[in-house]
Amino acid sequence: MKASVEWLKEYADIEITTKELADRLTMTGSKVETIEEKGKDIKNVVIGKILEITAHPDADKLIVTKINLGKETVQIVTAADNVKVGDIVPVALDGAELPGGKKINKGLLRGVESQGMMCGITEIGLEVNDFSNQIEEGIMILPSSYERYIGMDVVEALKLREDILDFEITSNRPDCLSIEGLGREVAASLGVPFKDPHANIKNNAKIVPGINELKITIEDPDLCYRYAARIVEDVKIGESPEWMKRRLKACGVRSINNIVDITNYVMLELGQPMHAFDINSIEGKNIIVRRAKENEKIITLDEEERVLDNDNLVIADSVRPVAIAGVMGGLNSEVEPKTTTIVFESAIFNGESVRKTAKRARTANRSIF
Amino acid sequence: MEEQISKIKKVATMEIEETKDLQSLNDVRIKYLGKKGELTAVLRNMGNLTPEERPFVGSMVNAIRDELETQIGIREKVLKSEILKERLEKEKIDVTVPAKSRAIGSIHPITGVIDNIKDIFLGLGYEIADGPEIEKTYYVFDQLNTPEGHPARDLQDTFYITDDIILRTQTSSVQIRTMENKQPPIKIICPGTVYRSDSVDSTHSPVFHQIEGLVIDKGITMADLKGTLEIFARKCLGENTKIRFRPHHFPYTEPSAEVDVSCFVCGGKGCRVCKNEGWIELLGCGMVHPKVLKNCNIDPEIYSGFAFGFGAERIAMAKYGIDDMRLMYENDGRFLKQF
Repeated sequence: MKASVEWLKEYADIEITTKELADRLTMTGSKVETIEEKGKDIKNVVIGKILEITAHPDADKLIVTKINLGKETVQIVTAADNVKVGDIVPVALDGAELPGGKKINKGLLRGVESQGMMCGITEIGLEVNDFSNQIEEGIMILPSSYERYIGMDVVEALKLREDILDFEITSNRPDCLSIEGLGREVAASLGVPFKDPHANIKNNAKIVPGINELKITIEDPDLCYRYAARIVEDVKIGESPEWMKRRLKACGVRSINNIVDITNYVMLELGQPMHAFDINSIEGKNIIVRRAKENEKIITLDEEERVLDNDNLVIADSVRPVAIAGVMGGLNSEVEPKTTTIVFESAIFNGESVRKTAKRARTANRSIF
Repeated sequence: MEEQISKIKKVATMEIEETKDLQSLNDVRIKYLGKKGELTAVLRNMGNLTPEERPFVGSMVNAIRDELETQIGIREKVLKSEILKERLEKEKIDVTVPAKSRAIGSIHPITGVIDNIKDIFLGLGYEIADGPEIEKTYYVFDQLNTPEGHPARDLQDTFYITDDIILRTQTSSVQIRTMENKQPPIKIICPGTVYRSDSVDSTHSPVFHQIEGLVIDKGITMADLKGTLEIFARKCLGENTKIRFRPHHFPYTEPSAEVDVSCFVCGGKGCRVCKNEGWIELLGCGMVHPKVLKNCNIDPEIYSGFAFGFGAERIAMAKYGIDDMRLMYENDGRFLKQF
C-alpha cells in the first residue's frame, strides 16, 4: 500500500523526517518496505519566461532564446520548435542535475553560447499525463499562471518533492488499506492528535420524482449489506486538478478523468470502493442488486465478455446487468465524455463473494482488495 | 654399360628413399655398395672394358658410389631422428601431473545450516520432530486457525493435489501433529522441506527448507521466546548479534512478530547486504494462538507456548554471503566444494 507523506500530513502533524516516520511505523507493525524520494534528484532547474527568440546564425535547426529568470537573463540555444515568446518554461542551468543522473553544463552550440537547457516534461521526471496540455516531445510549456514563479526552483514551483512510503499491510489490519486508516496509525504511533479534514456536502438540487429519482432494490441482502447512491447533475467530464493527479499517482493509480478519479480518490482515502454510472444508461432509473442468472452475460469495462452464474452478484437495471458488484463496471453504463448526470455508488458487498467472483473472472484491481 | 650404371643409380636412389627403418636401409646399402653389391660388381667387371672406357666408367661409378653413400647418410640421419622422436614421445614422463586424488564430498550449505541449528536447539533441550511432506489441508491450515476463505490460504500459494491434500507450505503441520498426539510439556523443532507456488528467482524457490520450533508448557511467556531467539542468534551468527522484534501478523500466533538480526557483515552500520538498514529480516514468531491450542485439545487456560520459524536458505545465504538462491540447487561442484 503506497501513501505519500504529504497526504498523510492532512490527518496528523508529522514533524519528524520521513526516515524516522518510516522507522516508527515499522516498529508499530506497519512495515515500510521502501521509501521513494521523488524530486530529490533535480537540482538547479529554474522557471523562466522567454523574452526573445532569434534564428541561430550558423544552424537552420537551432534557435537562440533569451530567458528571464527574475534576477538574471540567460541565453539558451535549442533545437525545439514548440516555443514562442512569452512561454513559461523550466530551464536547467549550468551544473544542473536531472533524474537519471544527467548533468547539464553550459557550452557552445554551433558557436553560440548556451547557458543551459530548456526541459521537456519527461526530463524533469514527470509524465505527459501529469500536467494539462503537455506533449511528449519538445519543451514543457507551463500555464501562464506560473509566471509568478519566475526565478523559483522548479522542484518548489511544481511541488516535485514528494516522499512516498510503501507499506506491507498484514491481513489483520485492513483498516490500514486507506490513507485515513494510515493517518490514524500515524497519529497513534507518533502520539499526536488525529485531524479530520472532511467537508460537509451541500445539497444544491432537489429530487424530482419520475425525473431524476433513482429506485434501489437489494434482492440478495446476504451478499450486499448496504447500498448507497447519490446523483450529481450538471457534470462536465474533464481533467482532474494537479493536486489530485499527484496524489493518485503517488499511490500508483492513473488519472483517467475527473469522475473516475473521484471514485479512485475516495477509495484510496477512505478505503471505500466506489463506482460511477451515467444515469441515462440505467434503464428505468432502477438499480437492482441481485445474483446473476445462470449464463447471464455482461461486457465489462475492459471489453471482455463475462459469463456469470448464480454465485455472482451484479448491479442491474430493469433490463440487464450494468456492473459486476464490487469487481468491475459494465461497458454499457460507463461514464463517457458527454455524460452530464452521474450516479455515484458506494456499497458494502460480502467480501468473500467479491473475491471468489473476481478470481473466476481472473481480474484484480484495488477495489477488490 | 653407362645405361646399366645409370639404371642402378636410379633404382638405388628410389629404394633408399623408400626405406622405413635402419635395418632395411642397411640392406639397401649392402645391396648396392657391399662386397657383393651391384656397383661393386660393376667395378669388378671393369676388366672386361677397353682401356679407353675404363677411366670413364671408373670415375662414373665412383661418383655414383659417393652420391649413394651421401644419400644413405642423409636417410640414416632422418630415420634416426624419427626413431628418437618416437622414443621421446613414448617414454616421456610428465612430472608436473598431479597425483591422482580421490574426490571427497562435503556437506551442502543448507544441510550444514540445518545441522548447526539442530545442535543449538538440542543443546537447549529440544527434540526433533518430523512429519509428511504431502499433507492434509487440515494440518497445514485448518488447525492453524486459517479457515477456508482466509487470504493467508491463497497468499501462501499452495500446490494442491486434491482439494484436501497439498504439498505442505510450512512445517507447522508437524507441530499440530505433535500437539495432537502428546500433552505438554512440548519442546520441539521441526526442520523440513516445504513447497510454495513461487516462481524461481534469486530469492525464491518453489521448494525450500524451513525450521520451526514449538514450546508448550505452563507459564511460558514472550520473554521466554525472546530469550530463546537471542541465544539462537548469538550461537548461530556470532556472539555480538543483536535481535529486534517488530509487530506482525500470523493467523496462528497472537501476538505475532518478525525478528531482525543485526547485519553480521557490517555489524549494524549499514551495507549492501542489509540494504543499509543494519538489520536483516530472519524469522517470524509469536505466542501460540489459544484457538490453535484448543484445536489440539490442549487447554489454553493452563498451558501457553510460543512458536517460531525461519527459512534455512535465508540463513545459509546470509551466513555465507550467497546472493542467489538458485546456486544452492544446481549441484554444481564448483559451488559445493567451497563448503
